[in-house]
Amino acid sequence: MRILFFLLLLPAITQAQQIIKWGKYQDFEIELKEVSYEPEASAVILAQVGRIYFDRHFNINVHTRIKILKEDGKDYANQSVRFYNQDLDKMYDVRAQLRTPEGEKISLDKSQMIIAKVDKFYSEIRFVFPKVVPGTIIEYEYTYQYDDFYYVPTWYFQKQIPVLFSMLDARLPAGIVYRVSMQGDRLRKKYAERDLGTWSLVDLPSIKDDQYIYNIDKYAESVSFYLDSYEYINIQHTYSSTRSVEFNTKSDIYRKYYLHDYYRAWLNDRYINRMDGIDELAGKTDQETVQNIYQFVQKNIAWTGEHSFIVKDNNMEVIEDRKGDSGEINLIMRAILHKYNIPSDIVLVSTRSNGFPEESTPALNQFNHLILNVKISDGLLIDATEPFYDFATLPPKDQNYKGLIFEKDNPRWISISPNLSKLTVNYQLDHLNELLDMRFTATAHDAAMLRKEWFNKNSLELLKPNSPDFELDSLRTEFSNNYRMPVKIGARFKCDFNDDAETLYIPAQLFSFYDEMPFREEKRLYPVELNYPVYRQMIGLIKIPEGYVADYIPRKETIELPNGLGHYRFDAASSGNVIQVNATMEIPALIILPEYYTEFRNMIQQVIAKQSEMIVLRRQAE
Amino acid sequence: MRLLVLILLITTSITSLAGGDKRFPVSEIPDDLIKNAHAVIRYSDEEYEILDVDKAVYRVKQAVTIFSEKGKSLALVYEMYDELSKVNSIEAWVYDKDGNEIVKLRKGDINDQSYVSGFSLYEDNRVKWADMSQKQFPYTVYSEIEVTYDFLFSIRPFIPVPDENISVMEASYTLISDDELYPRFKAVNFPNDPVESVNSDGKKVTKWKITDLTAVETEPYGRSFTDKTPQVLISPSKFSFEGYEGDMSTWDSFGEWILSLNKDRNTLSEATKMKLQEMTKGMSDLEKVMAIYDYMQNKTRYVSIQLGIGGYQPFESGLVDDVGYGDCKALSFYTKSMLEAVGIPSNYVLVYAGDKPLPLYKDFPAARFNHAILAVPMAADTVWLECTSQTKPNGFLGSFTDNRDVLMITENGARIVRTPEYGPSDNVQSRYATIRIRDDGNAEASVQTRFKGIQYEYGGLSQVIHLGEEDQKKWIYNTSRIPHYELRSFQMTNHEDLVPYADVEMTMDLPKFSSIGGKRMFFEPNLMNQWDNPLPKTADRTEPVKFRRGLEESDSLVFEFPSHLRPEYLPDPVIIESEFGKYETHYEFIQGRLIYVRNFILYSGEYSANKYQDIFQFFNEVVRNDKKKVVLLNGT
Repeated sequence: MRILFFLLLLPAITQAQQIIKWGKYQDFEIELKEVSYEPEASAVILAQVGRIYFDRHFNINVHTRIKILKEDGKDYANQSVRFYNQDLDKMYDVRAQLRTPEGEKISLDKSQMIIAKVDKFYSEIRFVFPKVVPGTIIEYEYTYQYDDFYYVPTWYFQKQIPVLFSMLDARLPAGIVYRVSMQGDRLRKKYAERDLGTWSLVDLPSIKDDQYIYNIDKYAESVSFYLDSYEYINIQHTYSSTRSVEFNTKSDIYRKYYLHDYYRAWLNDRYINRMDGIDELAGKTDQETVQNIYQFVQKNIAWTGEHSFIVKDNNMEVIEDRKGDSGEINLIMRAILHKYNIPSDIVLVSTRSNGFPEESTPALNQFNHLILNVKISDGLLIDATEPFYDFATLPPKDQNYKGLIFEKDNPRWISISPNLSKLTVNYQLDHLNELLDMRFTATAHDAAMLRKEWFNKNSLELLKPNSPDFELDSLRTEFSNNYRMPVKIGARFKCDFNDDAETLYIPAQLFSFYDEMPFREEKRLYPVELNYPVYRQMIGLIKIPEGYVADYIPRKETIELPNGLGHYRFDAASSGNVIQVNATMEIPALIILPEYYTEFRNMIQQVIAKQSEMIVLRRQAE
Repeated sequence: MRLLVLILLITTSITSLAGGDKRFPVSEIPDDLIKNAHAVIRYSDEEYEILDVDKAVYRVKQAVTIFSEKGKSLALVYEMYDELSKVNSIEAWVYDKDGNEIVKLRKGDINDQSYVSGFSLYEDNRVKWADMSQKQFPYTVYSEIEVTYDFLFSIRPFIPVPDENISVMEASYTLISDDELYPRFKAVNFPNDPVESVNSDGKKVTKWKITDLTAVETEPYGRSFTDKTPQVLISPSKFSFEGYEGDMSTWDSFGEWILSLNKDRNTLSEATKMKLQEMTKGMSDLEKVMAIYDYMQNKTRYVSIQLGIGGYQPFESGLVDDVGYGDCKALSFYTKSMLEAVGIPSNYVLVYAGDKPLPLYKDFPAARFNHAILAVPMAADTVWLECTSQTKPNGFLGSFTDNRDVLMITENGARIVRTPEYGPSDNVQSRYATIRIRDDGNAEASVQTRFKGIQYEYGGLSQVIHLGEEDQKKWIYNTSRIPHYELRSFQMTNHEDLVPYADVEMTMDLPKFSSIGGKRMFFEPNLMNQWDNPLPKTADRTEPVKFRRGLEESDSLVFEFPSHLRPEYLPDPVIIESEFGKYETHYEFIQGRLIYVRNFILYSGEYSANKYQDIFQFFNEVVRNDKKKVVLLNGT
């Protein structure tokens, strides 16, 4: 049945359209009980067909047909479509109907297709399908009309539930050129590079959020469109002229946003000078000045939580309201740096949730954020949006490999190397039934995380020794106001060993790198995207009490992952009456590809196993 | 250029003028109100005036000084509204610590947003809001808001302290109405009496005022914030709601009003009734209830409906029967109608669902409910039906509505009754496991666990049990607290009952389960049930400690290992008995196998603050003993 279906599709769009005709159901759709390649799916998209066409406006027509397969799939009948409700945009030709398992067809009336205004920008149509039970087929269709030719929505072939057939037919007006970007192996295999036309895929597995992926949509089969150029007709003059504007090379972007002085007004310090304390930021060195300015911006301007590099005409409003989006925050920082004669360049970036920017074919809407390259020493990348960070540490969201820098006459890609976060633990166990002092130091992201935890909860959860014989007694924290300084924590534990025993067992690694295995899956389809590169070290000195000898000391162990993805080293040795334990783990990688996952996971598994090994002390025969 | 200079001059002069008019300088706040406070309510003046049986206006002027990022939520100036209420105005200003105006809210910066609680058919709850937060602390947000209501059903209470870590310099609430419509009120934890007077329109005025409240903090497992802060609840006597007139002065009259909303809404068709009668023919009453409930679950799904009277009035049952969806009211009423069709009377019940139930006062009828369920009186006991879930076992309420006062609407009035409590003997998690350890320290385990009562909901199990393999696997990964394992196979079995349970069986590999050190092997016999102390270490507990629900955990684990291994060290058996609970473990080496048995019971109850250290210590002992290791020695 499926094969037949597939063959019918191939010829062309007209036939494909016939395949899902409103209210006409194919036998296999009616008979379908489960999805052969994903039998546990509780609902399935039988077909989703999109058509983009131009008739003085842009129109997107989407027809979706879903079958509810199981009891817990009923909620997939709660479908809604969100749309931009500004200006002349409109939703029209909205219809919905369903087919009950008994074959009854019911069309939804107006009261079952609610249009609700969500906020200033968005409205939503909600389809409330009645009589939904397993076996019900629902379908709905709408056409959305708009005029913004910069924007053509991305078509996702994969959804939260499996999709049996998905097709997009894009017919865009002459005179506007879009670059098409295909994502996903199946699309790339099936279609060579092409401009516009029709794309279709069948039997697509579901794609669901994953705790180790910033944005799962970036792994879905999809087609995106980027405006490349268009003809401009000047109708204000008696004659008409045409010219082409392009946006998709780095020099085009540079020309528009740098040479055309898009950001120039933001360098003006007229409004900035109204801020209290603005004249007191000079430090002894440039570095100190940069730090002062960074802190000043963080203290004075709140980040709204939005990312953008498109800004208002000038910075007046941001300074008046004392809040701005990510681009505005960093441009205020830039203006203040400028005031102190510290030059900086603008770097367009894409946050990790937004996806990777493509170096070969940059498109403006691949970026969503703006940071600075401050010209001190070798250049320092700075993003002032995230509190609790120090100025020399880029927050994890920015650590996305590349950025496009606007340097005068030299726009180019620069690599963004992630900041390594170090967490080190030192302890010395001198007397087994007294107190244990531990020192704990954290830098970069780890330090920021600790500052945040301490600020929000006034407690720290990380200090659990790997043994029931230790109990936290007191805590000394050192959170310097200068975020360049590491966070230092001193903790004192009461230990309670029975030092009369014949044999004493002491954990070789008193503090764990992991409480439990974070990577439960044995295999992964997708990479693991790690937040930031980590370095962990634990050094312990254990004094052997008088009358005891070391009976067993855990063995040395070294694991090196290929391609510098990470390593783990453990070493324990006694010298005189002291046992020194040294464990380090470093994972400098940000992404672990599926092919390295097993090795990576094995290393973590080994780290977890090793941290529960014990030192054994035996009472010396008299 | 000249123009520019002029504008600049004007701006400067306005600024300097404004500078003379300082408001709310932080220096005016007494020191003891700053202690522990993320924000201080400098001044709050609320006024609620009843204009008619279905008309009221509410005005509030409030100044809040915000001291840190944690007080930021109070910089959000907002007001909710819907089809029956209207936000007439929102104005707001921000002043710096010295009282200079720094921001004035522009009309265009007020957001107007839908505030829906999920997928919803009819819902028009909206919110107008503006974020006035600043980066430079402290600062003061002053706001004025006016709202009109086209109903009197619920009246805004006076809650002077909005949250913990907030102190109040002065707060007042004025209630204005003519005598006929004058609402009833109930002061809770309120230190002083209101002042009564008559205003120039001849209306009765009651004014509550409170000053100098220091910031309070809640304590884990302590009294809830609303239990310990002052508030005045206000509830109408006569009211009208979209034409439905009512009287809330007694629970009975309130019940009558609810009945009037439900009146004539049982519109089940004769065909449906006959079908149901046919379906339940020859069944006992209890079987009929179960059959009808199953039928309802299979036929419907939950869709939210919150529109005007629709927030209180259910859909007609005939309509629900036709479309197959509804909200809690509609689905409860639909089930009630169907039970009626098979000759079983049932009562509609209003409840405040969730983790923190609001108290119902016998002497103060008020509409403080957010959910509806159904109670079916049976010969032996009442059967409670939660009608919004497609999967909940018949008669099981679960943690959403258990153990609380609810309002049962009967033909003879309304009654406050209590929903069932699930005690330690209901909330049982019992586990049997066999773990086979090999010479290399790797092990394999087969584990059977039964989750019963409230434990049946553990980590969302009651839902997950109806989902597919992937979701079930995720549940296992999320809830099985074993440092490292590879799941080999698993199976979940559901047992529906008044106290339902689920069995989860799994087999797994435990790579490097026991660490090898020379001739020894170490492992923690408490494989997957190590307790975390939920209480923080503190020397100054002020409030009683309350555990709302008790529970019991029993674990029996058998460890098998190669015969040349013998225990070198087994932890001593432990029995800790206390008034809060009981903990017991023992280790036994029999026929080459190690048997580990653990039993832990936590009672529900409330204990005075001076017991805190004892409870903390009890939990700590549990934690400590749960982490004990066993040492095996190679005997050869």
